[in-house]
Amino acid sequence: MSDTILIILAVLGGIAGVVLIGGLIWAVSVSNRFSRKSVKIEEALSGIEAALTKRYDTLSKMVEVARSYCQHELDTMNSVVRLRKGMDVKALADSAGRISEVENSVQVLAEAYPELRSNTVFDELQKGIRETEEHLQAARRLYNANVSSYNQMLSVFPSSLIGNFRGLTEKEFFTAEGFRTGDVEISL
Amino acid sequence: MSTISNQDLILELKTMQRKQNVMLALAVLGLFFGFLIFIVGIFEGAAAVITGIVILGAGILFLALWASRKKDLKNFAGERITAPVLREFMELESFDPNAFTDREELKTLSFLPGHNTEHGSDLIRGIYKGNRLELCDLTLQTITSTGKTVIVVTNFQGQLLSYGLGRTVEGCVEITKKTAGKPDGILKRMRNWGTSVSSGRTFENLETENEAFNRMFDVRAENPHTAFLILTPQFMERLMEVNEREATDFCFTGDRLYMAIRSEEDRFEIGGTIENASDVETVRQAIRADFMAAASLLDVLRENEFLFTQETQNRSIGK
Repeated sequence: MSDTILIILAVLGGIAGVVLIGGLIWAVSVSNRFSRKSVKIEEALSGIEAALTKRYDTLSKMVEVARSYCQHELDTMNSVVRLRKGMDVKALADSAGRISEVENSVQVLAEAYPELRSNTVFDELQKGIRETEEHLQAARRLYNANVSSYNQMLSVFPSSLIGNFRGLTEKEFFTAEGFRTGDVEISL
Repeated sequence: MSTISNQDLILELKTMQRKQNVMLALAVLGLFFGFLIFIVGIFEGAAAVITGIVILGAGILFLALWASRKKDLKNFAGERITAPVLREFMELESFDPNAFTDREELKTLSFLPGHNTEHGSDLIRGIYKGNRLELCDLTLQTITSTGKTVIVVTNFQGQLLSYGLGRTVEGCVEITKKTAGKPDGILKRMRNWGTSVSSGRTFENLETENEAFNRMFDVRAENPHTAFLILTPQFMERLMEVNEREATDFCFTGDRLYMAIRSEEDRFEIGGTIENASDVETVRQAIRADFMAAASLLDVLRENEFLFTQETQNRSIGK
Protein backbone atom coordinates (compact mmCIF):
# COMPACT_ATOMS: atom_id res chain seq x y z
CA MET A 1 0.00 0.00 0.00
CA SER A 2 1.46 3.33 -0.99
CA ASP A 3 2.21 6.12 1.50
CA THR A 4 -0.44 8.34 -0.12
CA ILE A 5 -3.21 5.84 0.53
CA LEU A 6 -2.04 5.38 4.10
CA ILE A 7 -2.12 9.12 4.66
CA ILE A 8 -5.61 9.37 3.16
CA LEU A 9 -6.83 6.48 5.35
CA ALA A 10 -5.25 8.06 8.41
CA VAL A 11 -6.92 11.40 7.67
CA LEU A 12 -10.29 9.74 7.04
CA GLY A 13 -9.88 7.67 10.20
CA GLY A 14 -9.02 10.82 12.13
CA ILE A 15 -12.09 12.63 10.78
CA ALA A 16 -14.29 9.64 11.57
CA GLY A 17 -12.84 9.52 15.08
CA VAL A 18 -13.45 13.21 15.67
CA VAL A 19 -17.02 12.91 14.33
CA LEU A 20 -17.64 9.85 16.50
CA ILE A 21 -16.27 11.45 19.67
CA GLY A 22 -18.08 14.71 18.88
CA GLY A 23 -21.31 12.80 18.30
CA LEU A 24 -20.87 10.90 21.54
CA ILE A 25 -20.27 14.09 23.52
CA TRP A 26 -23.33 15.68 21.89
CA ALA A 27 -25.50 12.63 22.64
CA VAL A 28 -24.43 12.58 26.30
CA SER A 29 -25.02 16.32 26.53
CA VAL A 30 -28.53 16.06 25.04
CA SER A 31 -29.33 13.08 27.23
CA ASN A 32 -28.24 15.04 30.31
CA ARG A 33 -30.36 17.98 29.23
CA PHE A 34 -33.39 15.68 29.04
CA SER A 35 -32.61 14.46 32.56
CA ARG A 36 -32.17 18.00 33.89
CA LYS A 37 -35.45 19.13 32.32
CA SER A 38 -37.18 16.09 33.74
CA VAL A 39 -35.91 16.98 37.22
CA LYS A 40 -37.14 20.55 36.73
CA ILE A 41 -40.58 19.23 35.83
CA GLU A 42 -40.64 17.16 39.01
CA GLU A 43 -39.57 20.20 41.02
CA ALA A 44 -42.28 22.29 39.41
CA LEU A 45 -44.85 19.60 40.16
CA SER A 46 -43.83 19.63 43.80
CA GLY A 47 -44.30 23.40 43.65
CA ILE A 48 -47.89 22.82 42.54
CA GLU A 49 -48.39 20.35 45.37
CA ALA A 50 -47.05 22.86 47.89
CA ALA A 51 -49.31 25.59 46.56
CA LEU A 52 -52.30 23.23 46.62
CA THR A 53 -51.58 22.21 50.19
CA LYS A 54 -51.47 25.84 51.23
CA ARG A 55 -54.72 26.49 49.43
CA TYR A 56 -56.38 23.48 50.98
CA ASP A 57 -55.36 24.56 54.47
CA THR A 58 -56.70 28.06 53.95
CA LEU A 59 -59.92 26.77 52.44
CA SER A 60 -60.42 24.32 55.32
CA LYS A 61 -60.12 27.20 57.77
CA MET A 62 -62.64 29.21 55.74
CA VAL A 63 -65.13 26.33 55.89
CA GLU A 64 -64.65 26.09 59.65
CA VAL A 65 -65.32 29.79 60.11
CA ALA A 66 -68.34 29.63 57.79
CA ARG A 67 -69.77 26.67 59.74
CA SER A 68 -70.54 28.84 62.75
CA TYR A 69 -72.70 31.11 60.56
CA CYS A 70 -74.42 28.77 58.13
CA GLN A 71 -74.24 25.21 59.47
CA HIS A 72 -77.57 24.31 57.86
CA GLU A 73 -76.58 25.30 54.32
CA LEU A 74 -73.26 23.51 54.66
CA ASP A 75 -75.05 20.34 55.85
CA THR A 76 -77.51 20.56 52.95
CA MET A 77 -74.74 20.84 50.36
CA ASN A 78 -72.96 17.82 51.85
CA SER A 79 -70.32 17.91 49.14
CA VAL A 80 -67.22 15.80 49.64
CA VAL A 81 -63.94 16.13 47.89
CA ARG A 82 -61.69 13.12 48.09
CA LEU A 83 -58.19 12.85 46.82
CA ARG A 84 -55.66 10.11 47.06
CA LYS A 85 -51.90 10.02 47.08
CA GLY A 86 -49.93 9.43 43.89
CA MET A 87 -52.44 10.93 41.50
CA ASP A 88 -51.19 11.72 38.01
CA VAL A 89 -51.25 15.25 36.61
CA LYS A 90 -54.63 14.82 34.90
CA ALA A 91 -56.37 13.36 37.93
CA LEU A 92 -54.80 16.04 40.08
CA ALA A 93 -56.09 18.74 37.75
CA ASP A 94 -59.60 17.22 37.76
CA SER A 95 -59.71 17.14 41.53
CA ALA A 96 -58.40 20.66 41.61
CA GLY A 97 -61.36 21.70 39.50
CA ARG A 98 -63.71 20.15 42.09
CA ILE A 99 -62.07 21.97 44.94
CA SER A 100 -62.52 25.21 43.01
CA GLU A 101 -66.25 24.46 43.03
CA VAL A 102 -66.11 24.10 46.81
CA GLU A 103 -64.36 27.41 47.03
CA ASN A 104 -66.98 29.05 44.84
CA SER A 105 -69.77 27.59 47.02
CA VAL A 106 -68.19 29.10 50.13
CA GLN A 107 -67.90 32.44 48.35
CA VAL A 108 -71.59 32.29 47.37
CA LEU A 109 -72.51 31.54 51.00
CA ALA A 110 -70.45 34.49 52.11
CA GLU A 111 -72.46 36.70 49.76
CA ALA A 112 -75.69 35.56 51.44
CA TYR A 113 -74.37 36.13 54.98
CA PRO A 114 -73.17 39.74 55.52
CA GLU A 115 -72.08 38.92 59.09
CA LEU A 116 -69.82 36.18 57.68
CA ARG A 117 -68.33 38.62 55.18
CA SER A 118 -67.66 41.12 57.94
CA ASN A 119 -65.90 38.53 60.09
CA THR A 120 -62.26 39.69 60.19
CA VAL A 121 -60.87 36.15 60.28
CA PHE A 122 -62.93 35.18 57.24
CA ASP A 123 -61.85 38.36 55.47
CA GLU A 124 -58.19 37.58 56.13
CA LEU A 125 -58.70 34.01 54.90
CA GLN A 126 -60.28 35.32 51.70
CA LYS A 127 -57.18 37.44 51.11
CA GLY A 128 -55.09 34.39 51.87
CA ILE A 129 -57.05 32.35 49.31
CA ARG A 130 -56.40 35.00 46.66
CA GLU A 131 -52.70 34.86 47.47
CA THR A 132 -52.59 31.07 47.30
CA GLU A 133 -54.34 31.30 43.94
CA GLU A 134 -51.52 33.54 42.69
CA HIS A 135 -48.98 30.99 43.94
CA LEU A 136 -50.89 28.15 42.32
CA GLN A 137 -51.08 29.96 38.99
CA ALA A 138 -47.34 30.68 39.14
CA ALA A 139 -46.53 27.06 40.01
CA ARG A 140 -48.82 25.80 37.23
CA ARG A 141 -47.27 28.14 34.64
CA LEU A 142 -43.74 27.22 35.72
CA TYR A 143 -44.63 23.53 35.43
CA ASN A 144 -46.19 24.03 31.99
CA ALA A 145 -43.21 26.11 30.80
CA ASN A 146 -40.89 23.28 31.81
CA VAL A 147 -43.13 20.67 30.17
CA SER A 148 -43.31 22.77 27.00
CA SER A 149 -39.53 23.06 26.85
CA TYR A 150 -39.15 19.30 27.44
CA ASN A 151 -41.76 18.35 24.84
CA GLN A 152 -40.28 20.71 22.25
CA MET A 153 -36.87 19.16 22.74
CA LEU A 154 -38.41 15.72 22.40
CA SER A 155 -40.16 16.53 19.13
CA VAL A 156 -37.43 18.57 17.41
CA PHE A 157 -34.70 16.92 15.33
CA PRO A 158 -31.92 15.99 16.17
CA SER A 159 -32.58 15.93 19.93
CA SER A 160 -35.64 13.76 19.21
CA LEU A 161 -33.23 10.95 18.17
CA ILE A 162 -31.83 10.77 21.69
CA GLY A 163 -35.26 11.12 23.26
CA ASN A 164 -36.66 8.25 21.19
CA PHE A 165 -33.56 6.14 21.83
CA ARG A 166 -34.11 6.58 25.59
CA GLY A 167 -37.79 5.77 25.16
CA LEU A 168 -38.91 9.13 26.54
CA THR A 169 -42.49 10.26 26.05
CA GLU A 170 -44.14 13.65 26.11
CA LYS A 171 -45.13 15.02 29.52
CA GLU A 172 -48.65 16.09 30.29
CA PHE A 173 -49.59 19.73 30.81
CA PHE A 174 -51.41 20.87 33.95
CA THR A 175 -54.55 22.36 32.51
CA ALA A 176 -56.63 23.32 35.52
CA GLU A 177 -56.26 24.48 39.06
CA GLY A 178 -55.26 21.77 41.44
CA PHE A 179 -55.70 20.60 44.98
CA ARG A 180 -53.95 18.75 47.75
CA THR A 181 -52.46 15.41 46.85
CA GLY A 182 -52.80 13.74 50.22
CA ASP A 183 -55.73 11.63 51.42
CA VAL A 184 -57.88 14.53 52.49
CA GLU A 185 -61.48 15.47 52.39
CA ILE A 186 -63.54 18.55 52.93
CA SER A 187 -67.14 18.01 53.97
CA LEU A 188 -69.64 20.80 53.53
CA MET B 1 -36.05 76.83 53.35
CA SER B 2 -37.30 80.34 52.70
CA THR B 3 -39.42 80.98 49.63
CA ILE B 4 -38.05 83.24 46.97
CA SER B 5 -39.90 85.27 44.37
CA ASN B 6 -39.37 84.70 40.67
CA GLN B 7 -37.74 88.12 40.34
CA ASP B 8 -35.22 87.44 43.13
CA LEU B 9 -34.60 83.95 41.74
CA ILE B 10 -33.84 85.28 38.26
CA LEU B 11 -31.63 88.02 39.70
CA GLU B 12 -29.66 85.51 41.75
CA LEU B 13 -29.36 83.06 38.84
CA LYS B 14 -28.21 85.81 36.48
CA THR B 15 -25.58 86.96 38.98
CA MET B 16 -24.32 83.43 39.41
CA GLN B 17 -24.33 82.77 35.67
CA ARG B 18 -22.43 86.03 35.08
CA LYS B 19 -19.79 85.08 37.67
CA GLN B 20 -19.49 81.66 36.09
CA ASN B 21 -19.06 83.14 32.60
CA VAL B 22 -16.44 85.61 33.82
CA MET B 23 -14.45 82.79 35.41
CA LEU B 24 -14.64 80.76 32.21
CA ALA B 25 -13.51 83.72 30.09
CA LEU B 26 -10.59 84.42 32.45
CA ALA B 27 -9.64 80.74 32.46
CA VAL B 28 -9.63 80.56 28.64
CA LEU B 29 -7.64 83.80 28.32
CA GLY B 30 -5.17 82.74 31.02
CA LEU B 31 -4.57 79.33 29.47
CA PHE B 32 -4.28 80.72 25.93
CA PHE B 33 -1.98 83.65 26.65
CA GLY B 34 -0.01 81.80 29.31
CA PHE B 35 0.76 79.04 26.82
CA LEU B 36 1.58 81.62 24.12
CA ILE B 37 3.97 83.60 26.36
CA PHE B 38 5.54 80.37 27.58
CA ILE B 39 6.30 79.30 23.99
CA VAL B 40 7.66 82.76 23.13
CA GLY B 41 9.71 82.66 26.35
CA ILE B 42 11.50 79.49 25.23
CA PHE B 43 13.10 81.58 22.45
CA GLU B 44 13.24 85.00 24.19
CA GLY B 45 14.39 84.27 27.73
CA ALA B 46 13.61 83.07 31.24
CA ALA B 47 11.53 86.09 32.28
CA ALA B 48 8.94 85.40 29.60
CA VAL B 49 8.91 81.70 30.52
CA ILE B 50 8.19 82.54 34.18
CA THR B 51 5.49 85.06 33.15
CA GLY B 52 3.92 82.40 30.93
CA ILE B 53 3.90 79.87 33.75
CA VAL B 54 2.36 82.40 36.17
CA ILE B 55 -0.40 83.25 33.68
CA LEU B 56 -0.97 79.55 32.98
CA GLY B 57 -1.29 78.99 36.73
CA ALA B 58 -3.81 81.81 36.94
CA GLY B 59 -5.74 80.24 34.05
CA ILE B 60 -5.88 76.92 35.88
CA LEU B 61 -7.00 78.70 39.05
CA PHE B 62 -9.82 80.43 37.16
CA LEU B 63 -10.77 77.08 35.62
CA ALA B 64 -11.12 75.60 39.11
CA LEU B 65 -13.14 78.63 40.22
CA TRP B 66 -15.37 78.23 37.16
CA ALA B 67 -16.00 74.59 38.08
CA SER B 68 -16.80 75.63 41.63
CA ARG B 69 -19.20 78.38 40.45
CA LYS B 70 -20.84 75.90 38.11
CA LYS B 71 -21.39 73.51 41.00
CA ASP B 72 -22.78 76.36 43.13
CA LEU B 73 -25.16 77.32 40.34
CA LYS B 74 -26.29 73.71 39.95
CA ASN B 75 -26.89 73.38 43.68
CA PHE B 76 -28.79 76.66 43.80
CA ALA B 77 -30.96 75.78 40.79
CA GLY B 78 -31.53 72.30 42.25
CA GLU B 79 -32.63 73.74 45.58
CA ARG B 80 -34.72 76.60 44.20
CA ILE B 81 -36.15 75.15 40.96
CA THR B 82 -35.82 71.35 40.72
CA ALA B 83 -36.70 70.42 44.30
CA PRO B 84 -39.93 72.50 44.45
CA VAL B 85 -41.05 70.97 41.13
CA LEU B 86 -40.36 67.45 42.43
CA ARG B 87 -42.43 68.21 45.55
CA GLU B 88 -45.45 68.58 43.25
CA PHE B 89 -45.22 64.82 42.59
CA MET B 90 -43.76 63.28 45.72
CA GLU B 91 -42.75 63.72 49.33
CA LEU B 92 -39.21 64.77 48.54
CA GLU B 93 -36.64 63.82 51.15
CA SER B 94 -33.56 65.03 49.34
CA PHE B 95 -32.31 66.16 45.96
CA ASP B 96 -28.58 66.24 45.36
CA PRO B 97 -27.55 67.38 41.86
CA ASN B 98 -24.01 66.05 42.37
CA ALA B 99 -24.74 62.57 43.78
CA PHE B 100 -25.95 59.26 42.38
CA THR B 101 -26.81 55.76 43.67
CA ASP B 102 -24.32 54.31 46.11
CA ARG B 103 -21.50 52.42 44.36
CA GLU B 104 -21.78 49.46 46.74
CA GLU B 105 -25.46 49.14 45.84
CA LEU B 106 -24.61 49.29 42.13
CA LYS B 107 -22.20 46.38 42.57
CA THR B 108 -25.04 44.16 43.79
CA LEU B 109 -27.17 44.87 40.70
CA SER B 110 -26.10 42.17 38.26
CA PHE B 111 -28.83 43.15 35.75
CA LEU B 112 -26.87 46.30 34.86
CA PRO B 113 -24.42 45.99 31.95
CA GLY B 114 -20.80 45.18 32.79
CA HIS B 115 -18.61 48.25 33.44
CA ASN B 116 -15.54 49.46 35.26
CA THR B 117 -16.45 53.12 35.62
CA GLU B 118 -19.67 54.71 36.77
CA HIS B 119 -20.77 58.29 37.19
CA GLY B 120 -24.07 60.02 37.66
CA SER B 121 -25.94 62.97 39.08
CA ASP B 122 -29.28 64.35 40.25
CA LEU B 123 -30.06 61.88 43.01
CA ILE B 124 -33.72 62.17 44.02
CA ARG B 125 -34.98 60.45 47.19
CA GLY B 126 -38.47 60.47 48.60
CA ILE B 127 -41.86 58.83 48.87
CA TYR B 128 -43.81 58.46 45.63
CA LYS B 129 -47.41 57.23 45.95
CA GLY B 130 -46.78 55.61 49.30
CA ASN B 131 -43.50 53.83 48.59
CA ARG B 132 -39.86 54.84 48.69
CA LEU B 133 -38.41 56.01 45.39
CA GLU B 134 -34.84 56.75 44.38
CA LEU B 135 -33.98 58.10 40.95
CA CYS B 136 -30.75 59.37 39.42
CA ASP B 137 -28.90 59.88 36.18
CA LEU B 138 -26.38 57.13 35.61
CA THR B 139 -23.69 56.36 33.04
CA LEU B 140 -21.81 53.06 33.02
CA GLN B 141 -18.66 52.77 30.96
CA THR B 142 -15.87 50.35 30.24
CA ILE B 143 -12.60 52.20 29.89
CA THR B 144 -9.64 50.27 28.57
CA SER B 145 -6.17 51.57 27.87
CA THR B 146 -3.93 49.99 25.26
CA GLY B 147 -0.65 51.84 25.25
CA LYS B 148 -1.38 55.36 24.07
CA THR B 149 -5.01 54.69 23.18
CA VAL B 150 -7.83 54.92 25.66
CA ILE B 151 -11.05 53.26 24.55
CA VAL B 152 -14.25 54.37 26.25
CA VAL B 153 -17.34 52.27 25.65
CA THR B 154 -20.61 53.52 27.14
CA ASN B 155 -22.66 50.48 28.13
CA PHE B 156 -25.52 52.37 29.73
CA GLN B 157 -26.70 55.94 29.82
CA GLY B 158 -29.99 56.88 31.35
CA GLN B 159 -31.76 56.75 34.66
CA LEU B 160 -31.68 54.20 37.44
CA LEU B 161 -34.93 54.09 39.37
CA SER B 162 -35.55 52.04 42.47
CA TYR B 163 -38.95 51.70 44.09
CA GLY B 164 -40.29 49.93 47.17
CA LEU B 165 -42.55 46.95 46.52
CA GLY B 166 -44.04 46.90 50.00
CA ARG B 167 -43.30 43.17 49.83
CA THR B 168 -40.24 40.99 50.02
CA VAL B 169 -39.33 39.00 46.94
CA GLU B 170 -37.53 35.71 47.48
CA GLY B 171 -34.40 35.67 45.34
CA CYS B 172 -33.66 38.00 42.48
CA VAL B 173 -35.54 38.19 39.16
CA GLU B 174 -33.88 40.01 36.26
CA ILE B 175 -35.77 40.98 33.11
CA THR B 176 -33.45 42.53 30.56
CA LYS B 177 -34.08 43.68 27.04
CA LYS B 178 -32.77 41.42 24.29
CA THR B 179 -30.22 43.30 22.20
CA ALA B 180 -27.86 42.42 19.38
CA GLY B 181 -24.56 41.20 20.71
CA LYS B 182 -25.99 40.14 24.06
CA PRO B 183 -24.95 36.65 25.19
CA ASP B 184 -27.29 33.92 24.00
CA GLY B 185 -27.48 30.13 24.22
CA ILE B 186 -24.41 28.65 25.88
CA LEU B 187 -22.99 32.17 26.46
CA LYS B 188 -26.07 33.01 28.52
CA ARG B 189 -25.45 29.95 30.68
CA MET B 190 -21.81 31.01 31.02
CA ARG B 191 -22.95 34.46 32.16
CA ASN B 192 -24.99 32.80 34.91
CA TRP B 193 -21.96 30.79 35.87
CA GLY B 194 -19.93 34.03 36.02
CA THR B 195 -22.53 35.64 38.30
CA SER B 196 -22.52 32.54 40.45
CA VAL B 197 -18.74 32.72 40.85
CA SER B 198 -18.62 36.48 41.50
CA SER B 199 -21.64 36.85 43.78
CA GLY B 200 -22.43 33.34 44.97
CA ARG B 201 -25.96 33.60 43.54
CA THR B 202 -27.25 30.93 41.17
CA PHE B 203 -29.48 32.08 38.34
CA GLU B 204 -31.65 30.08 35.98
CA ASN B 205 -32.69 31.26 32.50
CA LEU B 206 -36.44 31.12 31.95
CA GLU B 207 -38.86 31.16 29.05
CA THR B 208 -42.47 32.15 29.57
CA GLU B 209 -45.54 31.08 27.60
CA ASN B 210 -45.66 34.54 25.98
CA GLU B 211 -43.60 34.32 22.77
CA ALA B 212 -43.65 38.10 22.17
CA PHE B 213 -42.33 38.64 25.69
CA ASN B 214 -39.62 36.01 25.17
CA ARG B 215 -38.52 37.75 21.98
CA MET B 216 -38.30 41.09 23.79
CA PHE B 217 -36.72 40.06 27.10
CA ASP B 218 -34.27 37.68 28.68
CA VAL B 219 -35.48 36.47 32.06
CA ARG B 220 -33.27 34.91 34.69
CA ALA B 221 -34.10 34.22 38.29
CA GLU B 222 -32.68 32.72 41.43
CA ASN B 223 -36.09 31.24 42.19
CA PRO B 224 -38.16 30.38 39.08
CA HIS B 225 -41.37 30.22 41.12
CA THR B 226 -40.91 33.85 42.17
CA ALA B 227 -40.35 34.81 38.54
CA PHE B 228 -43.63 33.27 37.46
CA LEU B 229 -45.37 34.82 40.45
CA ILE B 230 -44.22 38.24 39.28
CA LEU B 231 -44.60 37.61 35.56
CA THR B 232 -48.34 37.12 35.34
CA PRO B 233 -49.76 37.34 31.79
CA GLN B 234 -51.08 40.85 32.48
CA PHE B 235 -47.83 42.03 34.05
CA MET B 236 -45.80 40.76 31.10
CA GLU B 237 -47.97 42.94 28.84
CA ARG B 238 -47.25 45.92 31.10
CA LEU B 239 -43.52 45.30 31.02
CA MET B 240 -43.67 45.18 27.22
CA GLU B 241 -45.68 48.41 27.16
CA VAL B 242 -43.05 50.13 29.33
CA ASN B 243 -40.28 48.80 27.14
CA GLU B 244 -42.00 50.05 23.99
CA ARG B 245 -42.19 53.54 25.48
CA GLU B 246 -38.56 53.50 26.57
CA ALA B 247 -36.01 50.67 26.49
CA THR B 248 -35.89 49.46 30.09
CA ASP B 249 -34.37 46.61 32.09
CA PHE B 250 -35.97 45.46 35.34
CA CYS B 251 -34.79 43.74 38.47
CA PHE B 252 -36.90 42.58 41.41
CA THR B 253 -34.83 41.87 44.48
CA GLY B 254 -35.49 42.07 48.22
CA ASP B 255 -38.21 44.64 48.69
CA ARG B 256 -37.20 46.77 45.68
CA LEU B 257 -37.89 47.08 41.99
CA TYR B 258 -35.00 48.50 39.99
CA MET B 259 -35.54 49.96 36.54
CA ALA B 260 -32.63 50.87 34.27
CA ILE B 261 -34.14 53.26 31.75
CA ARG B 262 -31.96 53.54 28.65
CA SER B 263 -32.89 57.11 27.72
CA GLU B 264 -29.39 57.85 26.36
CA GLU B 265 -29.49 61.30 27.98
CA ASP B 266 -28.91 63.19 31.21
CA ARG B 267 -32.10 64.52 32.74
CA PHE B 268 -32.93 67.16 35.34
CA GLU B 269 -30.31 69.49 33.85
CA ILE B 270 -30.85 73.26 33.96
CA GLY B 271 -29.91 74.05 30.37
CA GLY B 272 -29.55 77.43 28.65
CA THR B 273 -29.39 80.93 30.09
CA ILE B 274 -32.19 82.07 32.35
CA GLU B 275 -33.11 85.68 31.53
CA ASN B 276 -36.74 86.05 32.54
CA ALA B 277 -39.75 84.38 34.18
CA SER B 278 -40.62 82.59 30.97
CA ASP B 279 -37.21 80.88 30.97
CA VAL B 280 -37.75 79.73 34.57
CA GLU B 281 -41.12 78.27 33.65
CA THR B 282 -39.60 76.50 30.64
CA VAL B 283 -37.01 74.92 32.93
CA ARG B 284 -39.73 73.86 35.38
CA GLN B 285 -41.74 72.27 32.58
CA ALA B 286 -38.65 70.39 31.40
CA ILE B 287 -38.09 69.02 34.92
CA ARG B 288 -41.74 67.99 35.20
CA ALA B 289 -41.40 66.19 31.86
CA ASP B 290 -38.15 64.50 32.99
CA PHE B 291 -39.71 63.23 36.20
CA MET B 292 -42.89 62.04 34.55
CA ALA B 293 -40.90 60.25 31.85
CA ALA B 294 -39.64 57.89 34.58
CA ALA B 295 -42.66 57.99 36.91
CA SER B 296 -45.17 57.23 34.16
CA LEU B 297 -43.29 54.00 33.40
CA LEU B 298 -43.50 53.10 37.06
CA ASP B 299 -47.21 53.95 37.13
CA VAL B 300 -47.87 51.38 34.41
CA LEU B 301 -46.34 48.70 36.62
CA ARG B 302 -47.94 49.93 39.85
CA GLU B 303 -51.34 48.86 38.50
CA ASN B 304 -50.35 45.38 39.68
CA GLU B 305 -51.84 45.52 43.19
CA PHE B 306 -50.63 42.06 44.10
CA LEU B 307 -47.02 43.03 43.56
CA PHE B 308 -47.09 46.61 44.83
CA THR B 309 -48.50 47.31 48.26
CA GLN B 310 -47.99 50.18 50.66
CA GLU B 311 -44.64 49.70 52.37
CA THR B 312 -46.32 49.70 55.77
CA GLN B 313 -47.99 46.35 54.91
CA ASN B 314 -44.81 44.47 54.11
CA ARG B 315 -45.45 40.85 53.13
CA SER B 316 -43.39 38.26 51.30
CA ILE B 317 -43.50 36.81 47.81
CA GLY B 318 -42.16 33.48 46.65
CA LYS B 319 -42.26 31.60 49.92
